[in-house]
Order: sequence, then C-alpha cells, then structure tokens
Amino acid sequence: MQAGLAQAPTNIKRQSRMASREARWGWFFIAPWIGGFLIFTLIPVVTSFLLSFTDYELVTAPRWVGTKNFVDLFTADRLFLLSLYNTAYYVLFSVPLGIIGAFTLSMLLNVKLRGMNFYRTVFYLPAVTSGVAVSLLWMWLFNPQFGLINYLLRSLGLYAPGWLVDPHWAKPAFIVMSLWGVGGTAVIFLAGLQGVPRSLYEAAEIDGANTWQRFWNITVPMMTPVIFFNLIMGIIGSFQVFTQAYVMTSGGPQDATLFYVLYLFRQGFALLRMGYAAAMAWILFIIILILTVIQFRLADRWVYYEGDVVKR
Amino acid sequence: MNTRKLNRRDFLRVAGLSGVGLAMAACVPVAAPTAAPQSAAGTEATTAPEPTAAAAGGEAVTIELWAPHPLDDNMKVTEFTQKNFEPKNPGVKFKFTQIPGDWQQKFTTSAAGGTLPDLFAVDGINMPTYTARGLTAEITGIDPKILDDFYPSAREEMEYEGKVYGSVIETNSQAFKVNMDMVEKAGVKLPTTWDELVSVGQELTIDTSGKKASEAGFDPNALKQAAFETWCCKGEGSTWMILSYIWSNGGDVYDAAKKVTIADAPAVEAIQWLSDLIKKYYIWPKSGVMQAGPEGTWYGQLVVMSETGAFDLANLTETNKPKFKWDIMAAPPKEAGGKFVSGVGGWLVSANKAGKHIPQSIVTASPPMSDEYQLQGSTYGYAVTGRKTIAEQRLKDVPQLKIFLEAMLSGKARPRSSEYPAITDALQQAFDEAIFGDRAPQDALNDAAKKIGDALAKEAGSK
Repeated sequence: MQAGLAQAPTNIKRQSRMASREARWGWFFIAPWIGGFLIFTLIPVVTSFLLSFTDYELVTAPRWVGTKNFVDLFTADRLFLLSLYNTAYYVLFSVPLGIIGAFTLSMLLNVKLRGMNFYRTVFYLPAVTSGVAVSLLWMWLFNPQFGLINYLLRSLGLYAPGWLVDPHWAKPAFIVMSLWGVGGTAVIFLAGLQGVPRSLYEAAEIDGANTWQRFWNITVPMMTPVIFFNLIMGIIGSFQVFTQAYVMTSGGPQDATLFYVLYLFRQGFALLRMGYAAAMAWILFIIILILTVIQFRLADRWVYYEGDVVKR
Repeated sequence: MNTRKLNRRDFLRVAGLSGVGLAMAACVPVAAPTAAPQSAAGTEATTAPEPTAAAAGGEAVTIELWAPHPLDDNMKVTEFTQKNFEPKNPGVKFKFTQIPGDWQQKFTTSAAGGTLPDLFAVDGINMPTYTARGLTAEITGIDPKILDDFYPSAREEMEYEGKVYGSVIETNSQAFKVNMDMVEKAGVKLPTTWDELVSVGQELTIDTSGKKASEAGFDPNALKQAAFETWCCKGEGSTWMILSYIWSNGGDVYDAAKKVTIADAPAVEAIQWLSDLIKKYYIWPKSGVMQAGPEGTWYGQLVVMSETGAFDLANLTETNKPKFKWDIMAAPPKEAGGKFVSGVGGWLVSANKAGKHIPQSIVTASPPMSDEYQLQGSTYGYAVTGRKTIAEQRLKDVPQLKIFLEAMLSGKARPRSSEYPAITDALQQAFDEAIFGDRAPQDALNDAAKKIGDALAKEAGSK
C-alpha cells in the first residue's frame, strides 16, 4: 500500500510529461490551421469590424467616424434599403424553389436506372462550373430576341418578357437561373435519401402504405435534417448573391437587381467607401445570424432526428 | 528549461491578444501614400528628373507599366519604348503588364497594399481622386510647346490644380455613327438641331406593323427599328454621354465657385428632353422593347443613329466593318448655330508617387506625349491621342476622324474633383431614374445635387 502510494507521484509526473509532449505535437500539427485562421479569418473579421466605424478610402488611412456609417445606411441611403429588398425577394423565392427542385431531382436520381451515374454527373456539373461562365451562358438564354427561353415561350404562344432588361422581370430571371445550380444541393439530398433505412419502407409496405404515404410519412421526416441543413446554407448563400448580377446586369435595369453584396462591392471599390462597405457587411452578418438563430429555434418543431424519439 | 504547459485558457488568451494586436496593426495603412517615400536619390517631382542617374551606378532599372488595356496589341507600347525610348535612356528598361479583369478593384487594392508599379494607367476622371490622395507624382520637364499642342479638354484631364500628373495615351470625344442605308431609304436628311433629331428620328423609328413614330397607332412597345441611342444610364460611359446634353443646354454639375447647379433649369430641361425621346417621341427604345442580338443594336440594324466615341473608328474602319453604308455625324446642338459640347475623356499614364524609382518613372511617363508615340498610338489604336497637330495628320487616312476632332475643340472634361467617384455615382443614379425610370427629372436631380454638395464639402474639408 505504502509502496503504491510512493509510486503514484512518479506515475502522475510521467503521465504529465507525456501529456505535455503530446500537447506540443498537437499544437505543432494544428499550427498551420491556426496561422491561416488568424491571418485569413480572425484578423480580417476584427479589422472589418473596426473599419465599419471609420471613413476608409482604401488608399488613405482610415478616419474614425463612430456610428456614422450605420446611421447613414438606415437614414440617408435609399439604395441600401432597396438592395436589401431586392436580396430578400431573391432569397424568399430562390431558396424554397431551390430546395424543392433539388429534392425532386434527388428523388429522380435515386431511382435504379441504367447509366444513373452519368445523369448524376451531368446534373452536378453546373455546381462546379465557373459563375462567370454560367452568367454569360444565361445572358444568351435570356436574350429577348434570340434567346432559347423566349424562343420556347413564343413557340408555345406565351408572352416572352424582356428578362434582364425589364425591371419587372429581372429578379424573376435571376430566380429562374438559380435553379441551374440545384445539382449541388441534390447530391446532398441524394446522400440523405440513401441513408433512409429500407426497413422503414418495408414495414410501411406491410402495413399497406401507398407511395405517397411512404414519401410523406417516411422520406420527408427522415430527410428533415438534410432539408434543414440545405435551408440554412441556401439562405446564407442567397443573401450573398453577387456574381450573376455583377456580370449580367450590374444591378440594373433601374436597380432591379442591385443585390446587397453588389451594392456593398460598389461602395467599397467604385466609390472608395470601404468603411461604409464594412458596415454593410456587418449588417448582413447580423441579418444572417438572426435568421439562422430563428431557424435553429424553429427546427425543434419540424426537424426529426432518429435519436429524438426520447423527446416525444 | 521551462516546459510550462500551455493550457487552453493560456492559448486562447495569447491567440486573442495576438489577433487583436495584429488586427490593430493591420488598421495602420501599410504604405500611406500621403507620406510617400522619397526616391533613392531624394529627388522630388518638382525638379526635372535625371533619367540616367541610375545608369551611373551601372544598373538599369526596370519601370513597369500596368494598364487594363492590351497596349502591346493595339498601340505597341513595348515595341515603341524599345525603339524610341530605351536607347536614349540606357538606365531605364520598360516593361508593360496588362491587368485583366476588374481594373478598379485591382488598382485600389494594390494601392492600399503599396504594391503599385512605377507607372500605371489612370482613367482621366479618376486622376484628381488619386492625386489628391497622394498616388501620382507630378510629371515635370515637359516641353511647354508639347503641352500647348494638346486639345484644351485633353490637357484638362492631364492636370490637377495646375500641375501635370499624367500623359494622355488615348482620349475620346463624341459623335454619332449612322446607318446611311436606313437614312437614305427613309429619304430624310441628317438632323442638325435637337428639334430635327426628334422630327427626323420619328421618321426613322418604325414599329413591327410598319407605322412610323409620327403616325397614329404607332406601338412603342413593338419596335422594329429605332432612330436613336446613347449610353445610359449606369456606368461611367453614361456620365460621359449624358453630361454633354446638360452642357449643351447651358447647364453644368457645379459652377466655378463650386456651387452645385445640377438641379438648375438647364440641366433639368436637358434630362427632361432625353426622357421625352423615350417616353414621348419614342425614338430612343425604352428598356425591354429592343435588345441587341450578338452583333449589337447598331450593327444589327435595329438602331439608325448610335452615339459613340472616337475609339469606335478602329472597329468601323478596321476590325468590324459594317456590312452597310455608314457615316459619322456630329452630335447636333440644341439650336441652329449653337455648339454641342462633347464630353472628352480617356486614359493617362501616371507615375507612382510612392514608387521606388520616381525620377525614372516620371521620365518614362513622358514619352506618350512625344510626336512619335502620339502618331504611333493614333495609327495603331485609331485613337485620338490628345495632341492637335498629330491628330490632324491622321485625317488623310481616317477622314471620319474630322468630326471627332471638331468635337475635341469644343468639348470639355468631366468635373475635376477629388470626390469624382461620389459625383458620378450621384449623376448616374439620377440619370437612370429620370431618363429610363419614372422619376421626375427635377426630383432625381435634386437628390443628385445633395449628394454632390456633400462630396464637394468633403473635398473642401480635406484641403
């Protein structure tokens, strides 16, 4: 017993040395990430926060102006609110449409069919295509006179709008275009679909459930975590819509596609108002943060996790 | 040896302090251009530089020029400097780099990071902005005869507060390219006043049922052919084009005392008239009713008279010759005997005030003003390079240049303000809302006037 007691401090010391050595190696291995995080994330984030309280023209030293940028944005900048409206409009339609489109596509891609891998690859391709190239492609498709979309509409005897040159149709055009990228989301849904246990469908079939009942009572509930994930990522991504508007319309016609990040970019680089742009960036961050927190709060009501049975 | 274990709390404290410290350090401008470093020789730009000073040490310095344009392709700048400049300046080598993509973004971030090259291209409208913020060095030692040879409007773009900060590599004035086949088919004469532009324009504007804009039952929402178009209303080209109508009507952005006049009657009338071309006379297609095919509205023979700049002569006469008969028409003045005041503007080469080789940079910035370069640039680029005597030499080869050169004489540069970005943004917004949008010109220009007033107050406060 006594010998055991005498042995204890030695063991603790040895363990402590080992832990210390392991910790050092641990820090060594994660040092590149920490360095990258500090240089490319934390410092820019902190800097942009500080810059949002300055008049910073990029080529001269920042000048402290307190909350002026934030006050001006809400009280003296009509385009700020317009850009926010344009973006919210885009998010409101493009995110649900994108999720429904991706979910539907993933159901189709989950069917056992010869050559399915080819189809999956084809539908995923737009997700890895350059945004600028895609924008140029859609400019052609949306051309009122020789674009493929209006050609089809005319051949069906339907109204062929001016799309990108008509203020009433420009935002819907971008929403239609956003469906082009559903392949990326569909792949996530596909992975989710393939994780739904077959036994649930088999049990339902034995109980006499038809296809719709199986879809509504098994597939949808089991997919709610994936829907939730895509909803959050979709809202975050859509609030940052930029490339399409930058390349295709520059915010026009008549500011109909002046999305938030495009306006932010214009303030920062065209007008050399980087402090103002930083303030806009932080407002966007807060909007997205609030929406994300709300979604997490609401998730308890509709997102179903297998392990959540206990809660019920 | 101290082997103190760094626990998580310690680490977070150190990392946090480091992060905040580095962030604070990052807030300090890296290369504050207002405190521009002196050149190695300690030479300020106010004295005539000695280009071969570096050569005395036996080492040639390489002066790099950044520009968004393919200057080697269209003006052969490297070939020119190797042939005409480097032999006379053995201490200086020249290198041109074209910067693709968003020039403004790349330029400003490079300026902020202190990585601009010795020479860079500057859009003339931005020169006061950059110069007031200490980015450009004064170009000295220029032969006064050369300076006096520049069109006044082009020289205006090179100068800020009476000093030269850039040399013109290309400038432009405005005129119309006209589809003469369509004009002759309609049996009309080219307009010489604003009223004629409307009356002739209505004869040239036809809907899909064949009715002219002057006829009852004409449908402006189904245009087959329109008479007129100019650049409007977003982008700097819009400020360039639209301001000329305000000037031609006796208005301006602000007066000599910097009192804002953009919402005064002459400017409001001019914008109202332009708006009427779309909404009342229908000769300028509103957005959505007519859009270019792959070849554009004018080349696609959808629009008869299209306002353009001298740069377009390269397309018209060389690289993209129209398949129809065309000509250049002077932009008509408001009334007979009056003058259309064209906007004049182009690109300059400026020397980096915070560069490493300021004397050599200044010397290398000067050649674009020389006889040889002006002629070469004008010949290869089909551009107006700024000097009157040289531009006139090109008339025998490119007679269509004549109207652009006449416009250079009566033209003027856009506001020479260090707050120009805010001014042009306010103007474009107002033009867009009033001309293509539904806002009353007076209301839109009142908004612009307030923003421009704020910009001018900021400019005054920074001096």
